Amino acid sequence: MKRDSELAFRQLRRSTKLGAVVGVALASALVMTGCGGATSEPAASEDVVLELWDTDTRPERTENLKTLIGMFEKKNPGITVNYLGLPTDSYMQKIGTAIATDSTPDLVTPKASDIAALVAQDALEPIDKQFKAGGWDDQISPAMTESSKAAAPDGNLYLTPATSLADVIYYRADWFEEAGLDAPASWDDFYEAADTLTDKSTGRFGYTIRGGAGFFPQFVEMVYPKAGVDTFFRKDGTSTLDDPKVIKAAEEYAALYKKNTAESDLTADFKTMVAQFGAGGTAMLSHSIGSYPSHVAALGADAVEGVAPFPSDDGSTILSGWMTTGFAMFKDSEHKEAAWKFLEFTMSAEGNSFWAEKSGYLPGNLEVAEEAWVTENQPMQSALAAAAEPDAVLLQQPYYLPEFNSITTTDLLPEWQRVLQGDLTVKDFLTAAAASLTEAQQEYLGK
Amino acid sequence: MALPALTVRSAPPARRLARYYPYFLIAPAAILTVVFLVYPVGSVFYYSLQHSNVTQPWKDGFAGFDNFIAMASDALFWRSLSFTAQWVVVEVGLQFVFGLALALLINKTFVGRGIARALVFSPWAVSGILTTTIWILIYNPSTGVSKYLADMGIGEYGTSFLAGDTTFWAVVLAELWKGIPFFAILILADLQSVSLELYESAEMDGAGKIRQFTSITWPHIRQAVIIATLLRAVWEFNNVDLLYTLTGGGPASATTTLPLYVAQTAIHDRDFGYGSALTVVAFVILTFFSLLYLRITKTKGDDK
Amino acid sequence: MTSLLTPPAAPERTESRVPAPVRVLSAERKRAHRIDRVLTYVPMALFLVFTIVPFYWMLLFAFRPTGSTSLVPWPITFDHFVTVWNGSGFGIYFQNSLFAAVMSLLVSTVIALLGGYALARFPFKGKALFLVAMLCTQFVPGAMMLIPLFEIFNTFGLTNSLWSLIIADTVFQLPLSLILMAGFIRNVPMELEEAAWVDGCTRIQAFRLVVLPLLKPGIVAVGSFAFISAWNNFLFAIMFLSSQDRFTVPVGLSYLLGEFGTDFGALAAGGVIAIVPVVVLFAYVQKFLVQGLSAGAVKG
Repeated sequence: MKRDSELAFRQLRRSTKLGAVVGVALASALVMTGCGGATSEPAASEDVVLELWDTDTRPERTENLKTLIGMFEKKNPGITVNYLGLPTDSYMQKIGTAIATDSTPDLVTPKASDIAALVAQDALEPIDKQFKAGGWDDQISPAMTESSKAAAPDGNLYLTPATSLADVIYYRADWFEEAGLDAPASWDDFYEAADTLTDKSTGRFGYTIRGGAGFFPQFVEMVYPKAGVDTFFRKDGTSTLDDPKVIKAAEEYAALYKKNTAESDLTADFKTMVAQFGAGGTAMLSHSIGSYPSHVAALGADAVEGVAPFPSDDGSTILSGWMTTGFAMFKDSEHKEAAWKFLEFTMSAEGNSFWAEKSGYLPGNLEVAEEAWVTENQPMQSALAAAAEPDAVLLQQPYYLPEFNSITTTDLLPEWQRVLQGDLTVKDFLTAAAASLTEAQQEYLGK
Repeated sequence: MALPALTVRSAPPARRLARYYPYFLIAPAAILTVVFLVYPVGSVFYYSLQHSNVTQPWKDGFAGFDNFIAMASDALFWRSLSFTAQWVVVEVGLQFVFGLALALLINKTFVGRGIARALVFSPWAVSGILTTTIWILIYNPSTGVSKYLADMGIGEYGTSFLAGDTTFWAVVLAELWKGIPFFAILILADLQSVSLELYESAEMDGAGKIRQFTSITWPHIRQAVIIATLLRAVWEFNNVDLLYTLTGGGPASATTTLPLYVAQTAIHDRDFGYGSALTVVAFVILTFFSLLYLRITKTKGDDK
Repeated sequence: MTSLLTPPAAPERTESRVPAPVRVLSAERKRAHRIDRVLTYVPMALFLVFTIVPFYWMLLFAFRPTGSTSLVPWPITFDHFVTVWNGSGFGIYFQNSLFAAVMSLLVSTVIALLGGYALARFPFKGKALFLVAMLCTQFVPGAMMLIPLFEIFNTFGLTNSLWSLIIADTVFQLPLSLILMAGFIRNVPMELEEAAWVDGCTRIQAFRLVVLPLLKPGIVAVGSFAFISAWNNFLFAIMFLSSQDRFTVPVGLSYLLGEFGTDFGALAAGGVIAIVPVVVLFAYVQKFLVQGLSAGAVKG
């Protein structure tokens, strides 16, 4: 099937060749005017040049990544890494275009949630063999490796388990103190604090609920740990979204809207929420540990603390939002050996320690995890403490489902907003959502 | 660039050659369009007949009219279509009315008009990404206008014009900010070729301002206005940046235009086949309405 | 910039052309004049407020410290500008944007002048078809055509060159430029041109000496549309270019918007940097927008 379409596509392309020839004259006439930007600077003859595309371009991160590259280049003379930053909103589109036109770079920094789509396009190189041969099994957190493998539909390792994100609830420590509240330690504390700290007359709200783009990860973070459900699919491959415990927890969560949150949260995405939190409009915010530095920058280290989601009503600890972020190499890379060297460097104690610390991520290297900076990062400690609970279970989101992204954003987002507006019950919403996830899972299992 | 080359030939305008003048003149535009757009537009039509979905590669292949048939029962498609019509009509209508008013105003003589002109035109120069950021901050409940209004006791805290009944008008306003200068610049430029004598003689005949507008100004700028409104309508139809960033098409899909739906389908969800089919439908709709609009607005004496 | 009080010597379009005695005599006229002033200044002020408030919001964020909610940027800080300028190589983006915008302006204005003249002055077979075809190219969003466009640029070896950006932008801008330019040319009376022919000018000379000077406002309008659309181009820049030092200002701005932190202060500062040259440019060219027949340069 695929072949046919490709053939037809080629033919279509051929038919425009004539026009292309005519155009060359014109195009070259235009080029003559100057610029000469098309050629890239020549590297020393035997030098290997790796192209690295980064998918997160905050200035500090860019700075850190460039330093990391510098460290790598120093240790590996003869290899140069070219950095290219791609904006958060459009990197997948750029990568998709590159895949379709055979112009992929060597290295990329995808999130676990991007892996399925990239693997579906046969774009990434599995690194299981090298990983094993290099003895990384023993040096990298097994949980992170597991989580990285779980993100791929075929269960292979594509993404180096270099670092991981985890979800926390940020709260305004100064407001809690003012109101005489202790740091929240249970879901009851959380809901009580959200209510106590809401003062609509002064424009302070207890919580900011994510009603707009990207609502799903936050929904999961706030609902599954409370419900005590530790898996997305039951043994028979049906979704747990319609589990009565999940529905109950979700109802409580959705009820926060307007009661303890701003009305405007209906369409709030992260940009809106963080502006709100930074401007002192809200007491608590759910997000990953990765955004800690920006909250500190806006509010000061004393005013903001983070706490991992609390134990469930029946006492179990569910970890959510643990998402591997690392580096991966493209299948079409012409310098796979050099690229692997770079991937290894990001997992090595030296590279991993620098990179994880500067990014505010949990380090994958077990040695690095013992370092002082990890124990001093307050939200990170909270996340790690939760993970250290003996009965803690890691909730894996089904990133391996290629449709997971489109279901949880395009399909579910408008329905979620209808729930917040009161036009749809939480139960009906979750029943329908469970049905479509179940369908996707069944298709995946049956394939 | 190409002018000197023509000079050589035009000295005694040979009749036979003169017939080809217009073709020489439009050649650069035509060639660029053919070289760079025929194949890309064609490929969208091609993919509209394909199943092409990165997330379900095993289904890829010829689809016939499956994508189009699926559209018939796609509620969001129909809803986005009617919202698109509303969006385009309101947006272009208001941009034109205010743009015309602004052009007429700024064409007058008054103190400080140089500065005023530079200022009122400048929103047009602001990039899309920046425009949306500015309006995000203005509509944000904690950093925006509604917070300061609430400080003064008007309205409530934690509200935003973007979430609630005002969503539509809030987005319209943001887009107007950028769109009004477009019409104003264009109409102002066109106004410059009106002969002043016409106004003088009209004044002597005792024609009032309104009369002067309807009998001199309007006929003069009419053609440009027709074209500008048409092109602007197409542009507003296809432009998704502002809506995507400000509302994401929400709440509950209330502000999803057809092209926004295309972007979600083809780019975010990577279902390129269905996205292409939606684009083809948009193409047909735009062609139909453009031709209809040109037909309706055509008056005798216009050359095509 | 335009002089504030129009000196009588400069025949700008004002009522001062009406013989003075008439004005003095008529009290009614005076009143009408006053109403006219009110009808000018009040709406103008409203437009200005509408224009300025969003800009002010941006300036607020650019100049006040992170976390402040004050309505005046005080205490003033330049930290955000330092962050932006040092952090993300804005200087180079600036150069690239400028190069792309200027080239795009030149290419599309020249092509629009040629084609516009043909459309305005010649009847020819296939004109309607040509116009409809140009129009149709606007009906498909650029985002749907990125892959085939990339392939074409690749064929020409233009990927990763600013020229891919310039060409793509010109191609998408062309219908607008061309059709608008045709309209502007059509508005220059044919008689002027014919008079020049009679005086012995060739068609080209007549165009250069008679039409072109009168087209200034049109050229400025069309040219500035092309300039601005290229200056602000984001999608083509990010899709066709793959090295950091070729990127444009909007790409640089988008770097500051991320899922793990959005530095609105830096973004606003970057915005100020991005806007200033264009506003200055507008401040300069706007006076050409109001020169034409009415400037008294040519009288039939």
